[in-house]
Amino acid sequence: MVAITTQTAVTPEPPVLKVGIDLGTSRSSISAANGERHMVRSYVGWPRDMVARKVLRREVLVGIEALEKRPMLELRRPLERGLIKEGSARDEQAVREIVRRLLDLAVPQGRDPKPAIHAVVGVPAETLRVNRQNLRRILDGQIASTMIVSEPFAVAYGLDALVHTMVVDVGAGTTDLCILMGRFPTESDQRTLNVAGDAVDDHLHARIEERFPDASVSIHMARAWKEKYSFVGGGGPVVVDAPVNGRPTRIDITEPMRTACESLLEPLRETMLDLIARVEPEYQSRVRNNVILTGGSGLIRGLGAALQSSLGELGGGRVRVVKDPVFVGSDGGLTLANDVRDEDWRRLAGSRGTQ
Amino acid sequence: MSGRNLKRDLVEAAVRDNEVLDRRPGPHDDSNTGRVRRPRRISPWSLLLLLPVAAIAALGYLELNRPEPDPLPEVEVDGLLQTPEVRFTGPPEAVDPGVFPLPVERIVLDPGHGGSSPGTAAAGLTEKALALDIAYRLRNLLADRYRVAMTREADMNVALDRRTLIANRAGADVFVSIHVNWLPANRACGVETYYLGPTDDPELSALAERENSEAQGYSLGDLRRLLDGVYAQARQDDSRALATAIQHSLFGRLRAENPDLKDRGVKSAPFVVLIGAEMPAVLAEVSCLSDAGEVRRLRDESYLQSIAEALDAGIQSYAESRLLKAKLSGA
Repeated sequence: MVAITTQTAVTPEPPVLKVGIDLGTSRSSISAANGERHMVRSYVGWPRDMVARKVLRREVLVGIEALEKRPMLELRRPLERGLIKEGSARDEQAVREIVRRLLDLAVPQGRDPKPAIHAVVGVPAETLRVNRQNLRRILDGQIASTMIVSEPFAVAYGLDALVHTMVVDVGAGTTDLCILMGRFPTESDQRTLNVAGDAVDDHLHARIEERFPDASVSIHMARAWKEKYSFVGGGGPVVVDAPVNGRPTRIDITEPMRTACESLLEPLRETMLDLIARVEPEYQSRVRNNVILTGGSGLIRGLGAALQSSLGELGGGRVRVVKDPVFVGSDGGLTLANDVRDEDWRRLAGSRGTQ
Repeated sequence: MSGRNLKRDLVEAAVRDNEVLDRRPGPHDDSNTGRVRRPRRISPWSLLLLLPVAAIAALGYLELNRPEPDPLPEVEVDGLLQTPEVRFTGPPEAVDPGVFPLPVERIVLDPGHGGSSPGTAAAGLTEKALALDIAYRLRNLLADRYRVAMTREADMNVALDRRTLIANRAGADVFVSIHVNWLPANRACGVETYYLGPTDDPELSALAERENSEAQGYSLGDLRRLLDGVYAQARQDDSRALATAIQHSLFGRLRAENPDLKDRGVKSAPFVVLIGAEMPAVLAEVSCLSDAGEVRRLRDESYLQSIAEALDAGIQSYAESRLLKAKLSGA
């Protein structure tokens, strides 16, 4: 793979670095043509006051560091429900900071001149529908030429699964389902559900509070337990440590965990069956046998098997789980970026007038 | 349609889709069809009719731009800087761990020294800053395959016993402490990797004494009890295997950049930072600030990256050997 390509022109132009970026609700990642691959948590925080600024000695913190130091920060998770809140300058700035951090990680420091970035940015389908124009404006100044696509499309492109395929991307804020039939997916090929990882966290947190009213459990603890122990169907026991009346105590959260994780099943099943039913009848069987489950919450133990079993209603099918969902979107974006012709990149940059 | 043609068509469709978007002036979007509508000339009468609409829009705008209330902190973390929480940056567990057995899943990296303990220093470089830089790079390299946490993520004091406590609480499978050495003037620069064990070598005792200087939190009795237990345990073998894999990788990779580099080998020494670890644990001296050539190289980010990559490869090699062992024992 060519690391950094240099464009030949009459006037010297900076070298070009092609990248794929996955802007996710929970994690964002970058895959660059120079071999760099990085992930940051999609959290951005600004010091709450002068004291915090003095302690942190930074104007802004991004990623896991922001999450860890949240008591001192005004913390943002800018794509919280799969959308950038329109009109919220802070959320827009947060997206800018995440992209800046990703690019800083991917572009070798001290390289002069800095390469011009040609990026394919994968976003939740809802962001694509509502925020695309806004997102492009936010990325202005950091990226020379941008193509924005839906996350499931980037995933499918990277996996070369573009025909008779269904991608089910269970993220943190939204679940995106997309049918790939060898054409660029339109609105009717896609569905977005608000039931995803965050909803499971809320559900789990509520069930634990209900079952152990004296336990002191934060949503962050519930999320960490879910990431570690989540399952649907048979699983467990899940026993964790939580403070009860201030004392560290072992509590069994097997049932709350099962209930919370299984809350995903019914909406996913319904939407999958609905989308498949809209495919031309002669291709439905192929789509059923080519379902790709991805996204961080797609790794919930047993979820793939449960969805596969639900396809039995339609005559059976096969669900494959992407084992490393962290970079599958950005890798797909990079594959797409490499396939876009140079003149198309120039057109995409030129049409914005900011080349 | 061939796969290549299909991909080309899809790329062109994606470009067109984005081009249409680019040409759309926001208020004239037709997001359903992707068509661009030309803005119409607005007559003065229309302006009069639009006044109430504009007033409502202005109210909406003000509503949208109201300062948002500060988000409530969701968790109170007392003494945050003194007791860093362990957060893993890697992906959550895979669905079928039985199909892809990965005995090494969680790694805790320990950048040596920090805060008021700079470690060794030369020509403006400090061990604490170099160790942190390398640890960050290593974390980025490991994060796509493992859950990775660090004992410190900033220039801060973390007691030695606290470092292994963090690893133990995180249920880490591997603990790697990163240090930069200082060797006597007559010694050529080299890399060496330690695991916990006794030593008769006075030079190693001196090194251990230097690295153990921040050992608050343990009494002498604690140390004796822990050492007696640790030396007898089977994980010493695992620690040696981990140390061997890392040392092999460090020397093999870094010698390409520094032909004078010496392989100072795998050694055992009583480092306090390794004592409390309940998992294979090593301390890697990845370079030495006593060597002018190494100081020059350590100023170059690409060399720091090479060190991180060498550590990454060593850890990976160890993890793969564990995986092989697991498969063989499973068969």
